[in-house]
Amino acid sequence: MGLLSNLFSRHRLKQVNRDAYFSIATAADSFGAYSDLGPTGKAGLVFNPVESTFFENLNSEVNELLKVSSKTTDSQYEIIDDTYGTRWVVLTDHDFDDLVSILHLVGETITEHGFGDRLVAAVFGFTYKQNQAYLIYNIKRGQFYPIVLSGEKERDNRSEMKIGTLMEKEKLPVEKNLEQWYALWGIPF
Amino acid sequence: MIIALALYVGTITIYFMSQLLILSLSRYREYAADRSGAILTGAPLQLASALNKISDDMYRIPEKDLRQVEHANAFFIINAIKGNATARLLSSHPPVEKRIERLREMQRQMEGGS
Repeated sequence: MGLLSNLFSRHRLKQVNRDAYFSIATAADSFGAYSDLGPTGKAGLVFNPVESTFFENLNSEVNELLKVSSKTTDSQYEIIDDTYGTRWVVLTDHDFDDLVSILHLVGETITEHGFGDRLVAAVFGFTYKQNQAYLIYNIKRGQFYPIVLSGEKERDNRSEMKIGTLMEKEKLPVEKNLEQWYALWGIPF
Repeated sequence: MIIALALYVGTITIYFMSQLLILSLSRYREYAADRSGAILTGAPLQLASALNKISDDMYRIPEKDLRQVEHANAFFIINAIKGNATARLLSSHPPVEKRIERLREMQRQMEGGS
C-alpha cells in the first residue's frame, strides 16, 4: 500500500513537472505577438557531471537523439564545460518546439541512467529590447523565472519582473519566490 | 491606592494599544504611498525594482549563481527565519517583499488591460 501510493505520487509529480516544462513551447509562440521578447534559437541543459562512462559518451548519445527527434535538419549541438564545474549541452535550432523537445529528451536520457538529481536547469535564450535574456527552468523546483542581462555581470531586475508577469499571463509556472531567481553567470550561448 | 494602580495600568494599556494602531495605520499608509506612486508614474515595477535594490539581502533577487546554490542545497533543510508576527506588528513599514508583491499585482492588473 505504502509502496503503491508512493509510486503513484512520484509518477504524478513527474507528470506535473513534465507539463510545467512543456508549457514554455506555447508561451514562447505568444510572447512574440505582443512583447519585445523573442527566442534566439538557442537553448541549453546544465548539469553536474560525475565520473562515469555515460557522461564520457554523452556526445554520441546526444548525436543519436538529434537524429531521431529533430523535425528540421539544422539542429546543432555543443557540449561545453563551464568554470563552475557544470556541463552544458547547448542546442541551436530555429524551431523552438525542437529545442524544447530535444532538451527534454537529453534530460530524460540523463535521468534514465540514474543521474536525474544532477540536472540543474534548462535555459532558453531570448532577446528582450536588445538585451540578452534567458528563461530558466529550475528542474528541481519545476518553475520558470527570467534573467535579463544589462552587462556581463549585471542583471536588469526591473525587466526581469516585467517578463515575470508576462510569463504568468501565458500560464507558465513562474517561481513566486524572488529569492529563488538565482543568477547564471556566463551562460555559454 | 488600588484605583490609582488600575488607572496606571489602564493608561499604559491604552497607550500601548494606540501605538499598535498607529503602527498599523503607518503600514497601511505605506502601501497607499506605494500605490499612488505607482499610479502617478504608471510603472509599478520601477518602484518594485527600486525597493528590491535597497532592501535587505533576504528579499532581493539574488546575485548568487544557481550552480553554487545547487552544491550547497542539500544542507538547507529549513528556510532562514523571516521575521515573526510580533516583529511585523511592531514595525512601521510593511515587509518589503509584501510591498513588492503588491506592486507586481498592480502590474498584472495593468497588463490585464482593464
